[in-house]
Amino acid sequence: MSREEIYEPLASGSNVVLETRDVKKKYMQGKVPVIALRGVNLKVERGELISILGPSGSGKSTLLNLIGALDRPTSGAIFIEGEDISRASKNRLAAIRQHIGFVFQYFNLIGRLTALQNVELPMTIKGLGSKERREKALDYLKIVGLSDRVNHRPNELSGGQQQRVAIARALAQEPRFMLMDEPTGNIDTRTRDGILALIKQLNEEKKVTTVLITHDHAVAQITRRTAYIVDGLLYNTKEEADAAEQVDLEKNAEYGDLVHRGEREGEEVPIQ
Amino acid sequence: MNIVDVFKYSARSIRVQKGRAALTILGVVIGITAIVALNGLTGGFSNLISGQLVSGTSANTLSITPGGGIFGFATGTGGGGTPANLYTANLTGIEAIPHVNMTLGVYSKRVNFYSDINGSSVKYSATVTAVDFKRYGEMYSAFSTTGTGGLGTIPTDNNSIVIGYSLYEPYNNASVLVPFGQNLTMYWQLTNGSTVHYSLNVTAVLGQIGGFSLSGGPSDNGIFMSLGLAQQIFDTQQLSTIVVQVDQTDTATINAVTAAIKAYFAPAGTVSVSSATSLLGTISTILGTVSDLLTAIAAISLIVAGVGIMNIMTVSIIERTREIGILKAIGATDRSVMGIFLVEALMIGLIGSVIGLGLGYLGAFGLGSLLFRFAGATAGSSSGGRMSGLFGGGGTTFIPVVTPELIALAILFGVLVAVVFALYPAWKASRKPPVEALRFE
Repeated sequence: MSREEIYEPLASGSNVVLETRDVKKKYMQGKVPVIALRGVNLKVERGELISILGPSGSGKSTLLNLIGALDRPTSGAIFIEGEDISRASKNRLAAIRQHIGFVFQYFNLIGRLTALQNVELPMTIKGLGSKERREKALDYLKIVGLSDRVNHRPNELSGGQQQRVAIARALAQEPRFMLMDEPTGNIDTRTRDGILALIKQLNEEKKVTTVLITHDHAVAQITRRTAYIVDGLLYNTKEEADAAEQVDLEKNAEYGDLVHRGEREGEEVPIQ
Repeated sequence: MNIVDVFKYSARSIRVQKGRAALTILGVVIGITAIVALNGLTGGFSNLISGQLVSGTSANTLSITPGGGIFGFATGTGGGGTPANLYTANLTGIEAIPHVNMTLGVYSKRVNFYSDINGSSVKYSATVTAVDFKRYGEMYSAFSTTGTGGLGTIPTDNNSIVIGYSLYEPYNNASVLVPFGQNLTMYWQLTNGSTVHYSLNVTAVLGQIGGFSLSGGPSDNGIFMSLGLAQQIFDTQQLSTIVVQVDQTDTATINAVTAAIKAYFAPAGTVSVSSATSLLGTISTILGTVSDLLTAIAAISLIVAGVGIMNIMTVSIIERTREIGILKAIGATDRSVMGIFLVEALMIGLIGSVIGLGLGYLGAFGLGSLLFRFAGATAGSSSGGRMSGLFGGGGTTFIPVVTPELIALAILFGVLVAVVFALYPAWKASRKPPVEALRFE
């Protein structure tokens, strides 16, 4: 197996890390076409900490999959450091994902690997040497405050600790930006504040660009900027979003629940 | 991902699923064990026969038998037509053929006798080989009492018999089947159904030479009698075999002599002329076929193991869908994912093959010694038939043949089966869309 293609950023000189232009995503739910995103425009600058707030079924996860290079949009363009990834090949998408720091609600650590090995994994995939990997992984675990747990497996760690390992793993990707999907959604409230503080600290001290996707207003409060997603469209202010939601509710009242918009867990059509 | 890391990663997942991996490996182990054991066994068997053939016959002897080929097979020198009868009078005629050194008339007859070696009197049977003792000794140096275990001297008179070592002491434990120096009462049936009894003194026991003989050569299982006496007591003038010694061993001479012998007998009918070399060739061919057949059967078990691997991989990949999603989310390509699963299969195949190789070698030894000790113990017993005691006694040891080629092939085959059957599941795993894989519960 050869060493994977290493992501070479374009020398754009621009400060924009991530940009979506009129991104639409339509998929089939059985035989019914569902429009999950109806033209999303988003710009994230280097060093930003932004939350995207939206209720379940608003198109949140679809947007996450698209900007995380896990899926391709139906139309529109997605730029990551100036490169349009909306038509990139599968291998190119994989190479791009090597530099996107995913943090998931359910941690998504690999159970048979220790914390250290989990953090090493992205670097293993990139083909780094074992010594370099180990040193860096120990550094990242230190940053998230888990230096004393490096040889523990996920099932020997608390939820909060597992999420810290996941954040360390995301750091190990040397990410262009971090992409966090309900990072505190599976953690008790007491531990949650610690994780949120860590996210904020990483952004402030290490200048890690972070996109935080959540339905939780309390989580969104830690970010300077919040975008709102309602029914497949993104709004920059709460007022606009509220207005859109009102229209949406009225529409639903008018048509009943005949047409289900947005996505539900487990029903998306993946890229192939 | 570099290859070392892929191996490490796959090794970890095998280690975590020890029980399941062990069962999968077991499938490969069984297949490879069977292949190695059966191949080693037939190889050793073939060597054993060749070795005994070399001591019991020589490259410059031809044997003439009436009609078709030996063992009922046409050996390529036989043919159809009326079988010619062989008589002692033919010997001089054959000796007149150029390059013929010496001839030997052999008459063979199956006889029965009783022995109380096992406590009670039990019927045994053996083949009487009737020859001119002097010529026999000249032609086959093994016909002598000077070897290990030999007793007495080869008689010069017409009224006593010589026995092979397995008839004297078949179990190598001092129990005597046919006592030396005493009379042995043999009996046989005539074509009219009446039974004839005849007693002769055992005056010599041959040294151990191996249990296998061809076309009249001496063996550990034979009773040897002078031809004159045999023709008298069995009431026949015919010979079973005429052994011809030629002064050259090159194919051209052998072929020329063979043709001359056939021409000599042509007025009387057909004969089959076979040389030790051609017999060896025939036996090798038969053993080769048996070996191929056994290998094919063993290979089936390996295919079954392959299906097992495919099954396990499919299940394992479903269970690890989320892991595949995670790997892809952090940048693993389809190829890396496929590599991880293929390497897992490769390791299973490799471990299974190596274990199977060891077990197969031991198995060939165990099976071989079991088979041949058993064969030795039934030497001369009535139920054993013609093949009984073929490999008994004679100080022959069975060594299975496990060549480097067999080792390489077994490992290659084991690994290949594992990888080939894992290809499809691994490919499917690698094609899993990351979004779907990540959502898998």
